[in-house]
Amino acid sequence: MPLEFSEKARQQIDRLLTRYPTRQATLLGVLYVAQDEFGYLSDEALELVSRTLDLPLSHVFGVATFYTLFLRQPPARYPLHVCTNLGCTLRGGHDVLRHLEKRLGIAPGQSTPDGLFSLSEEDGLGGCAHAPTMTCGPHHYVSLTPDKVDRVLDELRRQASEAGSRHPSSPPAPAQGVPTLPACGSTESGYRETPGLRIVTKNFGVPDIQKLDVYEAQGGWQAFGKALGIGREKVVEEVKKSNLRGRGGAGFPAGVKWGFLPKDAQRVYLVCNGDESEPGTFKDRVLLGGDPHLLVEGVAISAFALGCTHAFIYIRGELRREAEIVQAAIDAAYAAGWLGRQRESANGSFQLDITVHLGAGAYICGEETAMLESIEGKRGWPRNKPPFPAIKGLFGQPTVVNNVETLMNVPDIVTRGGDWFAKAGMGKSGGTRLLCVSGHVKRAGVYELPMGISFRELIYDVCGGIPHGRALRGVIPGGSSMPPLDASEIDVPIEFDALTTDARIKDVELRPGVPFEMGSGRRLKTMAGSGGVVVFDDQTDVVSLCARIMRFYAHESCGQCTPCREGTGWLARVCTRLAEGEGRPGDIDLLADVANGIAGNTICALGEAAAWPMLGFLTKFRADFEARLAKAAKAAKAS
Amino acid sequence: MAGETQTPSGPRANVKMVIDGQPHEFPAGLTILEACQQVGISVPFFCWHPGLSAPAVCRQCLVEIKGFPKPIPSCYTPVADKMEVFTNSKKVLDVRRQMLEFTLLNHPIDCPICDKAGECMLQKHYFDWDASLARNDGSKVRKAKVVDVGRHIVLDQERCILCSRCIRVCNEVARQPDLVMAFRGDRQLLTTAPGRRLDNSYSLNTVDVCPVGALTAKDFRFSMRAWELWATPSVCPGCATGCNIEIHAARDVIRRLVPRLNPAVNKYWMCDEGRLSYARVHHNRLVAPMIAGVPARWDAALGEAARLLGQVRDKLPSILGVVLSAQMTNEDLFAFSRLATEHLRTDRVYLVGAPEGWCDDILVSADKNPNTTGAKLIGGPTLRTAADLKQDLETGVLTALLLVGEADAVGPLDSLKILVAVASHQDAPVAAAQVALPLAMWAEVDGTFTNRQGKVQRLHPAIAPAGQTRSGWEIADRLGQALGSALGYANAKQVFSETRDKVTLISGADWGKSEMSVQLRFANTRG
Repeated sequence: MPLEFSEKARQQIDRLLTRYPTRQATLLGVLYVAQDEFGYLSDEALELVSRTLDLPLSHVFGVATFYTLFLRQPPARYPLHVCTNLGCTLRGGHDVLRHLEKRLGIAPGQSTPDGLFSLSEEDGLGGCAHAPTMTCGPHHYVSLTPDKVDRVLDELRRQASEAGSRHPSSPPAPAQGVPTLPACGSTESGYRETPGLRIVTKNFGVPDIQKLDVYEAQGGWQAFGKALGIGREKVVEEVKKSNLRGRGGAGFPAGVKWGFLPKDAQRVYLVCNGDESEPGTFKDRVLLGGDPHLLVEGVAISAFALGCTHAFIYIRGELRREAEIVQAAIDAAYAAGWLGRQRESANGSFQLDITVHLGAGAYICGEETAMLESIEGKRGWPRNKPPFPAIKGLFGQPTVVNNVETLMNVPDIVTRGGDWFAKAGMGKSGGTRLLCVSGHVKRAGVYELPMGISFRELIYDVCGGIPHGRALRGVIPGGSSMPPLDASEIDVPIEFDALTTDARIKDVELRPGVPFEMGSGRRLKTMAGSGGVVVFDDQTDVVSLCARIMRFYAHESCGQCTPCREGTGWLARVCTRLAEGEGRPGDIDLLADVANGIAGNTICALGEAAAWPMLGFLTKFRADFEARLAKAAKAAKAS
Repeated sequence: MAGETQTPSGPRANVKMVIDGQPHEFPAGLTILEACQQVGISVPFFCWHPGLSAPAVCRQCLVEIKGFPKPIPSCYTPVADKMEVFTNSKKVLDVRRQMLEFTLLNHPIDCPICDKAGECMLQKHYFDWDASLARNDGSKVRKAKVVDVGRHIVLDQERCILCSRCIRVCNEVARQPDLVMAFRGDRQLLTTAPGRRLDNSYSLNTVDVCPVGALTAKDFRFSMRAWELWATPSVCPGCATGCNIEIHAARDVIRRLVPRLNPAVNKYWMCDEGRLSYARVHHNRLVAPMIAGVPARWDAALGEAARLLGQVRDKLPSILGVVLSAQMTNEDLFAFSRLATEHLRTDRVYLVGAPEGWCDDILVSADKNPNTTGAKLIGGPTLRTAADLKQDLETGVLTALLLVGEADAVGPLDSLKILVAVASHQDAPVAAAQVALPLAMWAEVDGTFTNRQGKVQRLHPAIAPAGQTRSGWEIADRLGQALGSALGYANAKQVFSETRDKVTLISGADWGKSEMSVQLRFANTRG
């Protein structure tokens, strides 16, 4: 008998169908419903989804296999996901993984024969401040050691023997004595309070700020009221004046981006990008859980300013708990009439709907056009540009995509004025900056700091310096796709323009003395990126760190265009063998050449995201690569 | 048809631009790649196809445009006024080589055992633009080989370069999304959905557009090296649409039919059924004249046929019928029509043909005959139908019949006293005939078909006529001679000219230039 959805699942699907303008756009949501219902997405489950939405099975299959959170096999009872990305790998993530491999007798990607445990290596779970981490069900275990891992395993085994052969319907209980990561904006979640001006984290520390009445008591939703009163042209003007720059990575001025929308557009979409997956970045997790109403209000004001009546908040699939918090905030805003009801404004009546769209495990969906495809219920394949989203975006309509942090600044820009915001910043970058610090610092976490603080101040003053009395080796300034800085370059202010132009930062090179060119003679230093600052000390295996980054991009390449699809895998394989002491003569030049062949030739910026750190690491830490190669040559000679 | 590249009609401004230092003028709306092709500049590509949408994923056609920091996909970017394009700068040549290296990285390079070798775009571009040694000394990503992906097709996932042309053929031409990309990164696969097959009616076009040997036709694979084939322009005999094709044959054996571009008829495509229709050319043929079921010399058979038909004509002209087929060329139809009127002096000329079949709104016609339009024009208003014939046979009005062409199951033949068959296959009428004359088929002759749109389209002989078979017009001419006077034809073109003069075919119908078969070794890469 073919599978059928339960009544509850059908209701969930009906609700999804009301939240999107097309049936296909509900596909990711319906796949989640099917996975929750049946445990995994069997062929029969895909058939059912295909039937339910009247979409070709081939399309459903293509989408289901693109996103890693969709399971095509029945999962183990306790799937263990161990993070080994930057923050974790620098603080023993691989030790945790190896310990689990030994204890369970399986490799990543395998399950124990009794079906109890499966093991997987993950690319960033957002717990970088408390690395190393792993998840099991709803529990995000942090600050792990082999001893704590044993405690988790013992607890799960105990629960399993208690449950007997019954497959437990409820998730496992947490292991006692092993810290887990909460979802709200507390210190335990990774947020660290700073003494200076705070804009996006101004409400952090207010108890129960996730409740609407508490948020309103803090002055919440007043900026929205003010915006409706002054009219959308004035709001846009203030945002332009504020020098608010995109916090997602590129630092593009938000007001200018808004200005690209055609004046006569009939239907406009605003998409909030909360697909934070850049290794070393974990601010969205903190923000979404920490002050969800501020985000909803920021989206509402921006949507009003753009003339958008239906906005989407795209949240990374790994942040499902946070997505639920944001959905609860939206539900409360609907109930209070902030959303979904006509409100008078200087531009006539305005009514907004907001849909939360949960991603499903694909870094590439942080790229704005891939995100639009994903919302439309497709594989997250970036689009060719032009046309740009401002002209032809979501569902073919003019669309603006802004980062979570970017939009959370908007209420205060409206309340306190664009000039105030601009003045609070530095140069052409208004406001403050959220920095996510991980790796070898004493106090890792998410900090809201003045724009233009230097890396030295950040590492030594704010974060308490490097543990174990070690020296600094280098810093990844803004997520793993940005070229690293070495210890001599850390006096540069962390500001969008400074990091691209400051003469104290060396140009990235193809080979010693030969600068890498981004076209039209432009040189590359580094960029502020997403604010993910990864610090590594002098005991760090820099080559292995670089190889880990390369494996991440190979895993996350969407596969659509040739240079990235093939090149990222090639970089990962060659860099990994080099790191493991299996390098071959010429490998360093090969890595540089492959990176150069990817950069600039791809549909989207993932090509650069992989090529830049490769070239950056080779430029700044070439001696490490050469030494590893020489050691390999010596070993080969000896054998 | 979706996905076609079509320049919008109406006058459009031309753009003036420079390519590789040379000034050019192009109509607006063209892509840079198409502009380069127009002026003979070679820019390699894999994923672009003139009949499909352009995803710009292979990045092989990247060119430099002055003022743009990054290389630009020429397949996707329209020409613009004052644009300055470089297709052969050092930067472009470097990028071109780099893209080829990426495409080849995980490709198995198993050309010696690959069916596509010799007509493979990857092979050609590699030799044209790179030809340097592989730098990948590590392992390659392994994927499945010999995947039985559809009724007609085998897939090798390792050879696939993920260009998505085949997916677009299914989506945009066949309008049935059978193929899909699964997974991502360099683990990405071309595949069908679980439990589904590549089974649309146009599936073999995926083999044509596949730039490498990932999709191969079961019918063709391992039968012949591509470069040994000779290509002959012709027209598909499968239905009234008249898709333009190339017949690929070697040593008088047809190995495959492939579509040939005709923007007004079939564009770049043809259906699977038509494509596989060539099998009949080599199956169960009547290869020698027969008298009473015994092979005979042409002269003897013609003499016997003339004696029998002449006897009927001179005694009771009203009972002699001539049956023509909508499978015949215009030339054969005209010659036999003349024979019926002038030599046999009968107005009982019937038109028969293959029975109606399935159709779609893409290419396939319900009329499974390639020349119904031509036959009706040549036969004129007195032409009788297959139903008339059946009735006349059943009621016994007819006692003698000259049956020409493929005419299986025309009606009960047992009431006939005399049956002369001119036939290509050893079917029932041949067995019943006193005299059977072997007829050459569409792939063996010069001639024309008139398709459902009224277009007169040319056939060329791709292989030598089987055995002692002859063209229909020639048989008519010789039979006329045996009946008293030859029709006076020396070749098909002469018949065509006379047909055009005497029959209102279609204004401007043209014999066209006679094209030689070309060995694929000397042809450019297909696709």
